[in-house]
Amino acid sequence: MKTMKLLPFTLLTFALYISSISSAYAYLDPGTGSLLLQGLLGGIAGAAVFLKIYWHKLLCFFNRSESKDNKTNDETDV
Amino acid sequence: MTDLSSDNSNELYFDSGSFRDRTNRIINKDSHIYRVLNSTAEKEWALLTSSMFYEDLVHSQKIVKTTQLDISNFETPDHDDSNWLAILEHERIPLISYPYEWSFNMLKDAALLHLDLMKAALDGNMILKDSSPYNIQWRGKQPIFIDIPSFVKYEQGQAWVGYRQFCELFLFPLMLQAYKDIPFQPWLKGSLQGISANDYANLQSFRDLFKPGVLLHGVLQAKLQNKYKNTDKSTHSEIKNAGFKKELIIHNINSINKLIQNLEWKQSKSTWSNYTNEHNYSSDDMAQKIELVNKICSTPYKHVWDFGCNTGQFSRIAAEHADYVIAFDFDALAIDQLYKQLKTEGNNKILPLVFDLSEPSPNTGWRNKERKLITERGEPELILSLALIHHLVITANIPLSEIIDYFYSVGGDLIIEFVDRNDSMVKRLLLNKEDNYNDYSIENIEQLLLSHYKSFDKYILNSGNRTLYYAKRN
Repeated sequence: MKTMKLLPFTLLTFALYISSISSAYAYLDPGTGSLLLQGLLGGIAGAAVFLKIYWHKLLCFFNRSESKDNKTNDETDV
Repeated sequence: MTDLSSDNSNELYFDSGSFRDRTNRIINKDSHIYRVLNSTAEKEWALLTSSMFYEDLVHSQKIVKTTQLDISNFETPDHDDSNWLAILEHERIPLISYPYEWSFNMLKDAALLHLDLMKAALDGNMILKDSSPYNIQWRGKQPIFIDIPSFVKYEQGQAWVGYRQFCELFLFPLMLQAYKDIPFQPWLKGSLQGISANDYANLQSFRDLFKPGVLLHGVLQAKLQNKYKNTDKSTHSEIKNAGFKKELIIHNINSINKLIQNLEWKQSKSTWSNYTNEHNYSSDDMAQKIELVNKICSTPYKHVWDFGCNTGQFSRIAAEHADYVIAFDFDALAIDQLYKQLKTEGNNKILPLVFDLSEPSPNTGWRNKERKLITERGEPELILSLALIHHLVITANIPLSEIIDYFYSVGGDLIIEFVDRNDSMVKRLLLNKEDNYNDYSIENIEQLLLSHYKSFDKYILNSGNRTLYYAKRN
């Protein structure tokens, strides 16, 4: 029972953590947060979707950092 | 050929509350409710009527009975450049009401109906494209869904677009009442969009976070909305690409369904049943009053409005003779008790509504025309105002002349009770107030009734403290 009660907190901490690593976007879409949340609300299968979205965001984040580094190197070469 | 424009001039006669969804519009004409559809809505309508679940929902009276008519027999309103391809006629609902006029258990049952329809639709590979409680109306205690074009084809990978609206207009208002005992009606009356996740989350204490639904639907949704309010990427495609499927929506709906089933308004659950008996009638007066109201209502009047109905004792008497009775009271708890009783009895002739006569539902929404005054939604043949006007005059400080004038403007005949200053309730109301209510007198009410109505009958109840007037317009 105690574990059950703690589950939402674990999810919240997790969600807050992964939401903190996304990049900044521009322009209003008030439904976006609610749409993303539906991954978490879809049970285990949904959590997988939620994770996949954020995994993708994470990869984009690193790819971008990587390409930025490459670009800097190229520029240095020139 | 039926001309769908209004009778006078070429003014459009589209319903002023039906405009947000561009694919269809409602037209009121000669007590008929029509809906015109463009090509998109026509395709969805064809899909819906060919689905297995549609007939079941109509048969179980969960959605409004609808017939397609031949549009070539109609002339759509002038100045309308939309290309309407089909026309439907809906069965008329006796009186349109709004969620801010419903009690807790009414909003709860409307929410459960909405989830029910979502499940049925998803099983048939369709979905409801929005989640507005304004799409649900009442036939007595029976909630019924009226916005047929809300049913659209479910596209694989699509999330539940109406989830946020469902939270704002169903879930948060219900949780607010159940968990914090804060009435949702004033909030919904002031905000047609409902309660935002952010506002809801801001009201929560640490302890509240442990209550079902608060953390995920409230706090986390608010956080995510704030986090992504500036996003420029289509979340729809992102979700779809990540493998979102309808089973996830069904899972969410099932858990919200369970959450709402378990929500209780504690006061409504525990309070009963001496409510009606709290009044200080002598049993003799009460019996006499019942007999009189019963006799007058047997005239019969088809549509009766009972203002200040309490738990509906006289609404029931009226309903024995009338087609339909609207039972109004400002006390949401009394209305909730009445609704629950009507549900138990299976009584579909009375619609209970939370309604404060001293600050009635306004004309509101876009151009102040989207949601309408009660007097624009219906007209009674008879008004009951029993044990009410002393509260309006003394508690709400409304002049008696205003009250009689208002009742007359609403329509129909009137049964009105005058309770004099010897009555213990009147004494109680005046206890801490200066009695400057000179207009509250038997002479004045009789004069006012005569200046408005054609005639009245007068019945002095046995105690001598209460007088019943039956005022006739014609």
